[in-house]
Amino acid sequence: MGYTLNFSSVWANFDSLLWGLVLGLFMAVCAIGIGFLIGIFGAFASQSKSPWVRGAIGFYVSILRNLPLLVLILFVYFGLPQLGMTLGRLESFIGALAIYAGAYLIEVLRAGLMSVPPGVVEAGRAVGLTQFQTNLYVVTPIMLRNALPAMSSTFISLFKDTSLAAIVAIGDLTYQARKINVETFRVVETWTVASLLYIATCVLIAAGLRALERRYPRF
Amino acid sequence: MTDTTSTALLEIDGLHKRFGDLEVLKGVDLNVAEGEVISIIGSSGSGKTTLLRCVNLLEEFQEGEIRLEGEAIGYREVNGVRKRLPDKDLSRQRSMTGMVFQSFNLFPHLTAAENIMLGLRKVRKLGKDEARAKAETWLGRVGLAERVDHHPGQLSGGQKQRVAIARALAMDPKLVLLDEITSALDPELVQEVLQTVKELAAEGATLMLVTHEMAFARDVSTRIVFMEQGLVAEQGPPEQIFGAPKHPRLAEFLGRSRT
Ligand SMILES: Nc1ncnc2c1ncn2[C@@H]1O[C@H](COP(=O)(O)OP(=O)(O)O)[C@@H](O)[C@H]1O
Ligand SMILES: [Mg+2]
Repeated sequence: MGYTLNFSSVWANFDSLLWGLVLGLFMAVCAIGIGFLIGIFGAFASQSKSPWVRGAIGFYVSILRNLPLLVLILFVYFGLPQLGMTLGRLESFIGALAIYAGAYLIEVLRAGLMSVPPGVVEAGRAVGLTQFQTNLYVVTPIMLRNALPAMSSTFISLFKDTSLAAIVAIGDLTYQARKINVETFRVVETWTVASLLYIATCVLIAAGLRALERRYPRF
Repeated sequence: MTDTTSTALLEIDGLHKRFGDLEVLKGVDLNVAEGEVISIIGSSGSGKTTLLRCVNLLEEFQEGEIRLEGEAIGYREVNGVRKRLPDKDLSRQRSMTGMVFQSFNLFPHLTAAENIMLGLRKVRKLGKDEARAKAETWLGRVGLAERVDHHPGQLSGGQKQRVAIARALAMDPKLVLLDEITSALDPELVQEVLQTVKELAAEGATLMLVTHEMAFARDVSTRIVFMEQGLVAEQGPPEQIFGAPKHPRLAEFLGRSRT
């Protein structure tokens, strides 16, 4: 093997990798934030008395779970402008990731919702809390706590999925790495460093969420 | 009817409750006056739990009327059509009665004090400090002053049930419903809970309780109600019910529970 490792050109561009990572985290946080709201709303709506509402939620979830994320991203990026909706590339990508995240988080939070003991909900009602208050003060905290392990892995998946942003020329970590790769030909070094940055970030997120799990025992 | 009190706190008239085709309450009539302690006894499946749940509006019912302080609860007539009240009214009416469940049903994510404070703050609209003070007072009264900031997971069954009692009573309900509150407890923890109920009764709380603890019922109740197949089959003061039961099924039931 005649290949000698030389990281110097990667270090020279290290700050662009880091900024790419920060951009990826930013996109993940935005998409998870919106997806989380969709998830909470959808999980409660999936318990609705109306078969139409339940059907609409089921439809949304099954469409998005059966659609490759890359196709969704390209569809939103190239398709929406054709339909007369112009979004910036960042908004378009975050939007696509958010509706994708929403579908997965509906599933995760719905499982959390099912884990809330019915008797505890009745106790809330018996005290005189309205249904909304019971959902807010009793059901939601228990649901979130019990869904935390599954949410953690969903969050990490979604963060990793931000690497697909490179496909629509958003300057995230993968995009920057590819740029360095093309400009310097230090292929192994570049992708080693980029991979380590992804892995380290995911490990840190997982550790943070696991600390949260330990802090609040399961109910 | 045996009831002669003119100002009943709770009036149940011709209550019918069906789960689909299964009629579980078949026309229950029962009045409860302020300060009374009513023990409901009867074999499993006779409708005792369902009756309490109807009074607390956790179940819908199809016929009859329940009035609390003269106010019809759960339903109203609109142009001759019976309509379930909107959630806001149901919640207000539920807050007038307290409920203690067999399986405690404490809010697992809240401490003992917070379990009590939630209703005080969000339903009774007390400020945080006032709610906290009231919660602490009530936990003291049920002997749990040392457990104020414990989570349910850190409490024994008997302690959990006493928190649940304090949670119900702190709301100053007109009437407290207690459904077999010692049935899920280890035998050695039963007495501490029964003792708490006895103290509440002595202080004049109006209680309606379902129990299999016959000695306790005899001791604490002003009146015993025997339910059989979805109806009140017999009722009267404890001496009469336990001393001279008239209904044949009551005599049989008491014979069985003595063993
Ligand atoms: N949610 C329900 N759905 C269908 N049937 C029920 C339900 N709850 C209770 N029942 C039935 O109603 C009857 C009375 O039950 P319950 O009120 O719990 O009796 P008890 O408390 O006296 O043992 C039983 O036959 C029971 O199976
Ligand atoms: Mg029962």
